[in-house]
Amino acid sequence: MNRGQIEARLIAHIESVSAARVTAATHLIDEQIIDSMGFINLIAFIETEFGVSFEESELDECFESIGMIAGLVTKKRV
Amino acid sequence: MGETLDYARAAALAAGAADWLVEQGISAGDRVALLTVHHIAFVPILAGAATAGASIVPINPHLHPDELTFILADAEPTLILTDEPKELAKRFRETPQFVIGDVVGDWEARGAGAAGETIAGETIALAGGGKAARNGSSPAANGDPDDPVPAITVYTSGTTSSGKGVMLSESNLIAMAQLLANHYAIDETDRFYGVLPLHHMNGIMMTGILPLVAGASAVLADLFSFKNAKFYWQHVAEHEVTVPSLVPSIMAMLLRLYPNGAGVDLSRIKHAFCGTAPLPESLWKTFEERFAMPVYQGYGLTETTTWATATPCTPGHRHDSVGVPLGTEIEIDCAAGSAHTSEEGEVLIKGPMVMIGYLKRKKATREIFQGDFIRTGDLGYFEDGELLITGRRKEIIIKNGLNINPNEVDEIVAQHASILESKTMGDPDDIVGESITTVCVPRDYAHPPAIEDVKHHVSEMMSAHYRPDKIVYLAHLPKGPTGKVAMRQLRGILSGELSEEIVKRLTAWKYKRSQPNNRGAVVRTVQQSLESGAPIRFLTYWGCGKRAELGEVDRLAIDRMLEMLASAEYIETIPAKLTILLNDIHSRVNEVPEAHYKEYYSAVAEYAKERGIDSIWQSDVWQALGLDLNKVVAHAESAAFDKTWTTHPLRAELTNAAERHYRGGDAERGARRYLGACISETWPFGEKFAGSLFLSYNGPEFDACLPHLPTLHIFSYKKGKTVKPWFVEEEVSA
Repeated sequence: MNRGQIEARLIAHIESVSAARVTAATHLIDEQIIDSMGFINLIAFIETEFGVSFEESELDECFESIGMIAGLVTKKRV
Repeated sequence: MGETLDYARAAALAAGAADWLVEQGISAGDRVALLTVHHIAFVPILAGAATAGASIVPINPHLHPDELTFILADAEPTLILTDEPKELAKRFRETPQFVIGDVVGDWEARGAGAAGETIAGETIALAGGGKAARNGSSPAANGDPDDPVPAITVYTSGTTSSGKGVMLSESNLIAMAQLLANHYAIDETDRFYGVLPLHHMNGIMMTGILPLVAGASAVLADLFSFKNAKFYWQHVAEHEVTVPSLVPSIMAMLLRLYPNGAGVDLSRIKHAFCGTAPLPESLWKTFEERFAMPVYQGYGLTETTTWATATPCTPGHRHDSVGVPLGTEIEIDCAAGSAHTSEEGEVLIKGPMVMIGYLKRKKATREIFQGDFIRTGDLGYFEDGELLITGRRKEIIIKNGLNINPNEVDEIVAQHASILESKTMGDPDDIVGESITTVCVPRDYAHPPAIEDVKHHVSEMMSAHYRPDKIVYLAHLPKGPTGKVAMRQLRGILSGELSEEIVKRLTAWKYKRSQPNNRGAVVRTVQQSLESGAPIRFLTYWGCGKRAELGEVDRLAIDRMLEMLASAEYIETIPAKLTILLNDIHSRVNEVPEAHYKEYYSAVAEYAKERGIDSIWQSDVWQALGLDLNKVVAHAESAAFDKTWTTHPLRAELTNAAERHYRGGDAERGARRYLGACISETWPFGEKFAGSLFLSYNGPEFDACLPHLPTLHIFSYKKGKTVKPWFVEEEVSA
């Protein structure tokens, strides 16, 4: 699965749970696409879906947008 | 790892802070505002201030400036300590302000001489070991027990109409901590883990005063957030924690993030504490099973320091109660009298942790006290010695442990230019305890403002935690005779339960000859009326038989419909309205003489009017819709209609009916004409009367020939009778 496919999968997931339209660049927290429980659910989804886990600093820095998350997931899956 | 404060250094800091505060001119009865989320020097500052005879006022530095201003203006601190330099100076120019980081070194230097040994918690200045106490100037140490002095003043909210400073004395704090320590056998081997702020009593007690009094230790970690949640158990294990301090929302997030258990060694944990909000039974059980640790919860208010009841420390504790009284006497104020604690009533609490009173609010203090008991405003009862909380008398919403007065949210929402009025309420929420729902009545229901716009408006005026989680638009708020919002009805509208209940009544077997084809559409139609405030509209067809005069059966049938409609009138302002459609077109199709049907329909219309029912001639609707009967009939009799007719499932039934009612001779011809007329009406009538429910005396198989509307199939003039009233020729008695 490449970065584009991961992005597409994440966009589909977030749109299905938030009923909002998002792009890879949408800021998930600032634009209130997901709340804190939504964030927790997103982490749980990514871990099961892509079989990766994260470091504390990564969640802080790289979880702003789908594009950033997809980049991180791609890097971890290599 | 961050900074560590051992007891020796804490004692030194406390003594030094007391000394420094006295030097700053702090004297007995003064208040020191402490703006910090979780500064490690929190407890030493509390202790130092108590030694100086002053009380601290812990304040969330991230409050909205208006709330901060309210609290500071109300508390009138002599001095402000903050760990986050803010723009306070401008507003409170008169009050000396210090950044903790700038003065803590001075405290330590001053205190080094005053406290040279490592001392167990309770001997730290809380019991009065500092300079001021030694000089005899501390009422905390020497005070009159009948006139206690606050050691801490905690605000319940930051808004003008509901914010009150709860004054808790040193003995309140110590009694609370000792009761907890004894009940749960907390000692110096314990280590607490705090991810909750120190401007709320739960954090102050569980990760501040309780460890101090028990001689235990506490880790003040970063506040719990969705970003560090994933590493919670890892940190707990690294710090060798024995007692994590939790709230229900954190527990829910941890469960979500750790589907297979913590994944780290948690064997040091004795148990976890959970406070600030009701703990749902399923969440409680699942958490204990998944992470293999007992969780104990308590119940109390800021006014009772922390917990007035606590889960018994025994295996197999129950999960539906808030536990046993913790050094308190609890009465239930119910109709049967306070001795009957097994009956539901208001929970009253008396005990060593009950507050002194509200700062500068004598009336509010008088109102909440009943003798030595405090009225909690919560409803509950006892079962086998344990207290079960069933609800709240007051409307206050508790979200994430913070009190939110819904009226204050409504005041702000009402200032939005496009909102007429609103009603804010709490909804039970497994994560945050209660979430905030604001029902708004827009000035123009058809064009309401964007929901984000209203949320933003609230955020501008109040702290983030007041922001409604959900905004719902209704065209009206159901109100009682006094103009007060009828909460039960409002909740019923929002949940959809009210429309379900109304449809249940409308489809009671007393009226219903068979189930509706599309119950969901019936419910949705009712729901739309409830939301828009429009009447619940019903439409029915009325035909003509051999009688030209109104019969008793006609009256009975109409009255029955009215009776059924009355059962849908739950909300005074939302009546049920019936329109009778006089089927003169169908009578013409059946070649009934015009004078005959006109006489009959006029009599029906007259009786309907008497009963407050509208009636409308079918021919008028045809005209309005541009339908042409001659064309419709010609089409129905032409070869082009053959296929529709020969394949129609109701062909036999319609022919059978035409044999009795068609006055033009050939029954099949009559049936074709009738079907043609019905088919041409189905959709246009459905659109014309959209939003109405259709009442049909036919069975559901006839729906295809009737206006395309959600349809209820009802008995005619009596339960069990399906014959149409206008076809009944003999006199019928009720």
